[in-house]
Order: sequence, then structure tokens, then C-alpha cells
Amino acid sequence: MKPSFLLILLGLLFSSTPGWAENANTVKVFVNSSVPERALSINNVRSIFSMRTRSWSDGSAITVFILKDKQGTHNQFVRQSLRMAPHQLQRSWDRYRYTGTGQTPIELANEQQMIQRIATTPGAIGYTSQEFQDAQVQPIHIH
Amino acid sequence: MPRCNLFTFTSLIVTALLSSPSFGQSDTFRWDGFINQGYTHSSGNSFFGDSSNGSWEFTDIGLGASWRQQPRLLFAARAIYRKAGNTTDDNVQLDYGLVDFTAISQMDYGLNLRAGRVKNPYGFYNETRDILSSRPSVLLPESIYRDSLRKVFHTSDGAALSGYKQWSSTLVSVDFVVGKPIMSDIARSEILGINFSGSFDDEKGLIGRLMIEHPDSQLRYGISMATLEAGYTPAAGEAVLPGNFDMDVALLSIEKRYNDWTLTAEYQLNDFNISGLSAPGFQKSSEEKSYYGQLGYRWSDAWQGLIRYDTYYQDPDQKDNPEFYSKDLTASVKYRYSARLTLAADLHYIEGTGWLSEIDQQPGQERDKYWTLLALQLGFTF
Repeated sequence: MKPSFLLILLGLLFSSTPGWAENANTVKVFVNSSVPERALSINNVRSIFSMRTRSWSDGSAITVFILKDKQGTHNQFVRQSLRMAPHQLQRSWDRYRYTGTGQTPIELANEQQMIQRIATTPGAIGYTSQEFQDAQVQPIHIH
Repeated sequence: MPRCNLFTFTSLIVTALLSSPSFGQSDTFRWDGFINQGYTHSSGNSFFGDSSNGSWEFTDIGLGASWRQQPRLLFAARAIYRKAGNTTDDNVQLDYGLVDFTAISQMDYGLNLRAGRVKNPYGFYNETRDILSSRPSVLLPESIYRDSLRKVFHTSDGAALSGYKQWSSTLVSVDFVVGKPIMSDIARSEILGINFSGSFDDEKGLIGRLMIEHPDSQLRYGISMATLEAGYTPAAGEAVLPGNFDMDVALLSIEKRYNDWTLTAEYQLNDFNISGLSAPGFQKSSEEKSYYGQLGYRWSDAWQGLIRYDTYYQDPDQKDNPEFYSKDLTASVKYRYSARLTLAADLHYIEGTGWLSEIDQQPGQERDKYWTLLALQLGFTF
């Protein structure tokens, strides 16, 4: 092995986290207005986004939306709102997905789509860092 | 025929990949799969093919679909092709195929019932062992997650129950499976020896796991227990008697994360019995012991690595015979290039051949007491 190759390898090994653009706005959790809850514990929010909890308190089905770009807003949401590492959430999804016992969240391309799909899907939950006005989309207070 | 099967299967996957990534996907219907290609190179002994000369016989291809027909009803199935030296059948098989019914679903607790071919809840890694991105290294600790017995332990044809309860920040989950383990001719060769040619029958299995997680303190621990039994019917003309085989396994698992560090350990006892076969009333029992400790470090979202010491004793009375134990010191690096593509490399320094597969050895090959094994793998999920 040539020394230069080793250096590159070592450089790669010890390079820092690939930078993701931290959004200046905080990411907030929102639900469709049909959802009876307006406040949830952090454990409930973790359980919902892990795809473990599948029904709201009135028995209606939960639909979970996430952003496809897992670098920016998604990572910020997982770290700030769920206080988890993205790979921990991924592990939970993998367990359902690769054992045939559940499905992963629905991935959306951007935040406009996120707001629009939450507004039009009864039982939906998602997150966004954008400001908007829509009576069909209600914020969730996390305690 | 198996080649034809594989060809059809691969064509299907390539077609699926070349078509639009969202082809056939909807909110309730999903298909997914994975392709893993590995390479093994050893200083001696054979692991997944003729690894002394470098072996590419280390391939997994899976293609599955799931359909949430109603909010409480999920249908899911996956086909798998797996090549791991001589320890696998060269054909496409049903990996899992099940219907999942959500019996209870509340904010803090839930209960699901399943029927079909289901994955066995066992330890930290059994259910997701085929997915490189969810394994810590190329090879799982062989003392517990033995690749040559993968099929026996991985799935059961039967029924399953899965429940969870959340108390403030503590999550307790319970899983049970009752059914028929998958016992092929390869399992027979691994369990009884390569000279047998009959088959197992009346296979029964019962598996349970209790897992407790504290996400705030980054701690999880649990116990898994399994009991497996089968009868043995000799082949026509085979000079052995009918017999029985059973095993009772208990596994303790614990993992603690501290920032970027993860400490994982599992300890397994396996009470293993064979009766009949060579003479009426013949009995052979052994208490197998396996344990490993693993220290992992995550440099970034993309890079992680670990060191692990994994020990296996097949028979406490044969502690000095290298054919009856394995001690494996492993260093591993894993790189997640993207959400779909992961690469990993393991280097194993091994003493003993306890968990080495007998049918995977080359004809006339000597067993080396001390040997090294390099295992590389590229894993792609879609």
C-alpha cells in the first residue's frame, strides 16, 4: 500500500461529520386538524416517528411524513425534537421494514409538499421549519 | 434449475431498479430489497467458499413487498437468494411471508399478531442480519449468530405475538414465536455431521424475547430464550437408528451508548442434546457457551468502527482442543456512502475452529489452529 493512499484513508477516517446545513429556523411538529392531540410527550413523538405507535387516542390511523433529504431539516428534527441520533431512528425503521412487520414513513421531496400533505391527509403528522398559514395544519406542543 | 431461478430473480431486480424509483410505490404499497456482495480471504481454513485463495461466494439478494390493506392489516413477503460458500442452498427461497394484524394500538402500548413465515426474535441482530447498514460489521459474532446455522435460527413457519408498553421513558417490548424451524440438509450436516443422509421431521420451535430500553440513558438490555426439537429419520439403507435432537438456548444482551461510543455484550448458553442414532439409548449432551464484548465508535454519520472479542466453547470438557472452541478478535470499519450504499471491512484474528462449518471446508483441507480472515462487503438497499 502506498503511503499516499494510507494518508487519504486516514484522512477519510478522521474527517469530521459531513456538514449539513443547519437551518436557522427551528423545526416544529405539525398534525392534520383531524388529530385530537395538540400536545404530546417526547416519548410519544419518538414512538410515532419510530413507527411503533400507529393510532391516535381516538383510534384513527397515524400517517407519518418525513423529508427525503435526510441531511438538512430531517437530521435537525431528529436531533432537536426527538433528541435522538438519525441512525437510531433508522434502526427502528429497518427492523419493521426488513422483517415485514411494518412500513417506513412516507418520504416527501420538500417542505411545501410536507405542509400540503399534512393539510390533506387525515391523521397525518410531519415537521417543517417553514412559516405558513393553513387551518388544516395544527402545531403539536412537545412536553 | 437453481441457476435459472437466480437469473429470473436477478432480471426482475434489475428491471425494478431500472424502472422509475417510485414505480409501483404508494402510501400503502411498497416494494424494497437489497443486494450484498462480499469477499473473504483467509490464511487457512475455508469461510464462505475457498477463502484461502480468496472467495466471492458471499452474496445476498432480496426482493420484497408490503401492502397495508387496512390500517390494522399488513401483508408482507420477501424472496431471498443467498450464497455463503457451501453453507447455503443454491436457490431462491421465501425469506418471510406473513400477515400482521394490529390487535391493540394505543399511545403507550400495542399488540400485534402474525402468522406465516416470520423472523425469530433473538438477541440484538437476528431479524435484520441480512442488511449491512443495520449490522455493526461484515460478520456478526459467529459464536452466537452462526452463519452456517442461519436458516435454522432466522425464521419459523408459525405464529407470532409482539407487544410493547411505554412507561415514561422506559420501553418494554415482548416477542414470541411458536412454529416450525426451517431444517434443511445443510442444517443436518452442521448439527449431526456430514456423514448423515436422512432428514429431520416433527420440527418444533418456541422463541421468546424480552427487551427493555431507556432511550434517555442510551441503555438497552434483554433476554432471549429458544427451545428447538426435531426427530431424525435415517435415509433408506443408512446404517444409523432414528434419533432426536433438541436444544435449549438462553441469551442475555446488553448495550450502553455514551456519546459516540457504544459498548455491546451478549452471553449465550446452549444446552444441546442428541439421542439415538448410533445405538439404542445413546445420548450425547453438551453445554455450549458463547459470549462477546464489542466497543464501537462513530466518527460521523458516515464512518463507524469497532473492536470485538468473541468466544465460543462447544464442550466444557474439550477446552484445550482447538476443534471445539473459537476465539475471534475482530477489528471492523464501516462506511455509509449514502442512505442506500454501505461498505464494510473486517479483520479477524482467530484461534480454534469451533464454529467453522464442516461442509464449507475443501476436500482434504487441514484445519489451522491460528488463522486470519478478511471479510469485505458492499451492501445496497432500495
